[in-house]
Amino acid sequence: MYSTQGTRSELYNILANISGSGNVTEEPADLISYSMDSSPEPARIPRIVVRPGSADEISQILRIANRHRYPVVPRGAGTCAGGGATALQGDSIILDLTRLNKVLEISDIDLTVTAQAGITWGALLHELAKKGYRPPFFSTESGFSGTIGGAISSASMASQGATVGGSAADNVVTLEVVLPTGDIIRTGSDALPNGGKFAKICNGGDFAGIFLGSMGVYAIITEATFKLELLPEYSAFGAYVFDRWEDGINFGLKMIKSKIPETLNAIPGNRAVKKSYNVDKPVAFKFVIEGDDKAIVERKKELADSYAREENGVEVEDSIKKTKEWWAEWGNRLNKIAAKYEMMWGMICHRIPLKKLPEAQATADEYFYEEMKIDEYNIKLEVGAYFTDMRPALGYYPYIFFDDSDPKVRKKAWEVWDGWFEKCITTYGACPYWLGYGWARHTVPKLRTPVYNMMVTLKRALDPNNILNPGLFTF
Amino acid sequence: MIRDRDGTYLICPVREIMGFESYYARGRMLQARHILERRMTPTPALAERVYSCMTCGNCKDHCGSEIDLMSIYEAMREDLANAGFGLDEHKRFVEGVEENRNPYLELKTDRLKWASGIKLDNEGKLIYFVGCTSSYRRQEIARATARILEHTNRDFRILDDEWCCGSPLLRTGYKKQSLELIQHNLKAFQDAETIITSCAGCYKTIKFDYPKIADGAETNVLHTSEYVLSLIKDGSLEFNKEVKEVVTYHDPCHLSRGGGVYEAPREVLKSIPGIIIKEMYPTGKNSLCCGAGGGVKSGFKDLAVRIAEEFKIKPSEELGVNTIVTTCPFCKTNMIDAAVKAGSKIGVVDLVELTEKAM
Repeated sequence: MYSTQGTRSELYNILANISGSGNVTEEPADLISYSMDSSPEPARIPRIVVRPGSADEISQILRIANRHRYPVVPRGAGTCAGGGATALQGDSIILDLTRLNKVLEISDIDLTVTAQAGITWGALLHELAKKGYRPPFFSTESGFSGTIGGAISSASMASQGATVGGSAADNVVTLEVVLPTGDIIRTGSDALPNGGKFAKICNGGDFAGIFLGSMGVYAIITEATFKLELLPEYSAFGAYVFDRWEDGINFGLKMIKSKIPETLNAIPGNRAVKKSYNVDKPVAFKFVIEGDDKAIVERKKELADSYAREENGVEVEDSIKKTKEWWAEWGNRLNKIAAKYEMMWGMICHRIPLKKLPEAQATADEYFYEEMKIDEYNIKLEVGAYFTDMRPALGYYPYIFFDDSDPKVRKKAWEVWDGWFEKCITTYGACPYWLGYGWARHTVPKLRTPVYNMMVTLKRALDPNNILNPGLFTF
Repeated sequence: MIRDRDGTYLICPVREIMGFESYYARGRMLQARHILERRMTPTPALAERVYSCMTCGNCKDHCGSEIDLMSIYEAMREDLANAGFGLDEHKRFVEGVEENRNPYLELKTDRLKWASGIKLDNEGKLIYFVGCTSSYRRQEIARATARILEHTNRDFRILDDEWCCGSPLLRTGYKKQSLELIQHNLKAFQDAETIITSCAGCYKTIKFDYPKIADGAETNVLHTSEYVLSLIKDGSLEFNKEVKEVVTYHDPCHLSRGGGVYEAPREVLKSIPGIIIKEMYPTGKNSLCCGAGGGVKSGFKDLAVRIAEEFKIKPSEELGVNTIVTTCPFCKTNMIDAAVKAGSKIGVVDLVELTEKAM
């Protein structure tokens, strides 16, 4: 690796001693590459980047960072959609965790996989597929290039498995994390020397839960054990449009109550339904059913069709491919939409109960089209929702697409994007499941005071010098 | 970014070796953006990042956003070269091309040395465009191609003044310097009905870059794999010998992703009696570059060889094959270098060599 810098900093030498000189850089051409993630957040250039190769190296780095009060920001593939993997403070050390990319164990008897945090979903799924497995949740909206550590740190969800498996974090059994002080701990059953990796809540509490979805504020996740399921052999698909919101909601509820779908997605609002199916209806639903037994899959499809008909649903053709690769197509769809528009995108995904979907959509329509007048700036809006945890609860996602090269449009898009966080929290009660800086600065100050105080207390206890991702949660 | 059920995850071999984000697509896009927004000025270190890409196109093909990354990389290289940040190794071959019409610093007068004993018909409407690598470094490929053409009684000709196709210059940011070469070769192609080439780089350049640069100058160019397949299909070429080898096929990027030719080489291989083909992972449209392209072989020799060793030689050995077959002389050279470095007994041959062996 070529560097223009004649003299290395003292910090460079320290980190190079730990992780090797080929794994540390303070070269501007490298630092710039770590200045953004997949969000519209502005570029923030770190002080130095290190690629540690083990939890032990991370432990050493954190001890040094503590001694010298260096801010430390963990980063996987950098696909966070809200400013979760960039240096909010210019003096930061970026911990690029992608060297931690190994599958450590696939257990046929515990039905678990243990992998290092920096492995991508693509690599993990590739290894699991060789043995006929996948986790119930299998890949983020960013596609398979995101890392598992990033996904569980942000409690990432997407339509690939979320209806059954919830978020990435919900599929975790045990974790290995490095605390800011440098201690390496294991959670759940793995906290006992002979415990193994089979149970999440043990030994006095859900300690993994502290770190799941916490965006690397309390610790660095270095290893995770996930639940596994068999790759299904058969699949069936369907899509229906409904005349009334309540009909669609009843259909969704029936599907969840009967635990039929592998994936159930809602297309909310007349604009979205028109765009997808060219009909003027308030809501549509599409579903995937999977299983190992063809007859069971076919029977479930019959039931799903009958539930839709009971609510006067009309079947429509959907573009999802009726193949085993359906989820890969869906996983890549945002980028495809961005390609269609040739625009930058901003994501504002959050959780809502099913009953609030009509209100959420009405709020979004009013905010984006009437209040923000996005059409005047040629800002495009795409909305959708997917069921999670086999519950009447949704991940609801309005995404904006805009011409990033036009400063006027960029400024407006930022206003729209940033403003929506505030709007949806304060109107219909959106609940963000992930907290990049975009979400956090609007959400954390609004938490009930005792909850906020508890978070600050927890942070002080675990990270007394506030070195891990300082400022991300506003503290 | 990924489309396969089992999650194809290897996209950029440079990223796998170098690690930092600055060595692959998203990092390079941020570098380009900072340069365009004048928040960064070119440096030799930046040039090293930008030039350490084989322009294999795998990131482009897997980019859900469908950004034409290759064009951006080549434009960045052009700007860097114009600003004086081109690599010395590339500047040397630019000089070589200007002086002797090849990037290997070989004499122009030696270009046809390989053809000793080959009967050349100077009137044929079929031109075999040999390319610099087969002319100077991998002459066995040129000879095997010519023998297949002779064996099947084709009236072919070889240009007595063939110049570099321009690919090395275009890929490394010296577009302006390539114009003279392109005009010369196009003029030489004027009376031809068909041009065949055994080089993936020449193929992509003549077929796709020439029309763009020379204002719609389209030529009927076929890669040897396509031409040999047509000979098999029309009955002109029959195989009389068995070639008992277990092989894997390496897709050269400029032929596969660059030219869309995936099946022809495999069909030819399947036609050869005795050959057993095993596909390495990843393969076809997901195949990884051997490490040689885009000026990396000349600019970063160790990186090029290491990539071939990690992603071609080792996987082929694990696959249990004894030969890697390819359809590009440049890929062949790099994989041979890697096999030697790794101490591997695996053989690397061009498809035309196996074809000739079976005739």
